[in-house]
Amino acid sequence: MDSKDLIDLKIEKTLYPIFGNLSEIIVEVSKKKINRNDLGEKEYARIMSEEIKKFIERFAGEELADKTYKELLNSLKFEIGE
Amino acid sequence: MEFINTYVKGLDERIEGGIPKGSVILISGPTGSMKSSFSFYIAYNYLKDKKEGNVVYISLEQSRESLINQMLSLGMDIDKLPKNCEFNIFDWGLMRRIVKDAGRQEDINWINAIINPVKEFAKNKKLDFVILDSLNALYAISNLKNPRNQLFFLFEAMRELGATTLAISETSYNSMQFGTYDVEGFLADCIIHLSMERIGRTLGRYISIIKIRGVKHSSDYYPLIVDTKGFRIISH
Repeated sequence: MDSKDLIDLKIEKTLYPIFGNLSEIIVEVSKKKINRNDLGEKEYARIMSEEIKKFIERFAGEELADKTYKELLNSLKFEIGE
Repeated sequence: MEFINTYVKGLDERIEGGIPKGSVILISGPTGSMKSSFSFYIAYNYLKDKKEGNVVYISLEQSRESLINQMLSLGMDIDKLPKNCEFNIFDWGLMRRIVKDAGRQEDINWINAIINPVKEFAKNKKLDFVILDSLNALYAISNLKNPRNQLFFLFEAMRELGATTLAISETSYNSMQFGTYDVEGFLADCIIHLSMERIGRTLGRYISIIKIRGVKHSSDYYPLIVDTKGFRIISH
């Protein structure tokens, strides 16, 4: 398990209260849209959060997307470095 | 008991001022009977009237874009609702596609999956309406081993949200069974039946209140007119 896998797990954990075991699938799908190997840890965490925000926006609209994005940034603040 | 208007002109006065707030209402009818539009119409007009509130529309088949366009053609534009109103559409068709692409359909407890985001959404705010479109789509994706029991808990979960739930149920033409398992009507607090009848070369739409728990009401079928001015009945 590398540091990006750990980021994926943190994202899944953040999404879990809303999406249950769909969280894993949402992370899987978002990962496929990203060139994971070309990115540093910080970039990966931010880009994944943005990708998931875009997905939730398509699924449920802006409000839930913004709320979830804030939660993701909060749980990944160490990885993103903020 | 507090009541909510259906905003169908002529109907509310026949059912003691509307439908019971916070209850589960089964909106039943065949394809083309405007079940989705009718449900959308009630919640949309509630927001427009109260100038505040929150609605979650759970669309299990129709995409958000298609639903928005359909409602626009009936004069309902969610972007034009007052500032403190939120009409949220959860596009489960999108979620179903990604689950299918990932080959993970079997792993999902769809009833929980559908309720959880609504619960989360309702955590810090009052939710006025939840529209579940449709029970039939839910049956198609989830394996209900004990429908009566599982539907009981689904409806209970909806009641616990405190919102008025409009659960859409598609039936066959001329059927007086209001749900696939014939228990939906018993478990719901109220049944509104939208029906259609061919009269020569035209198709007539009708509406009837089959049941409102604890309320005396007319059970007549009223001709239903729908245009950009809204829904209205022709009373006899």
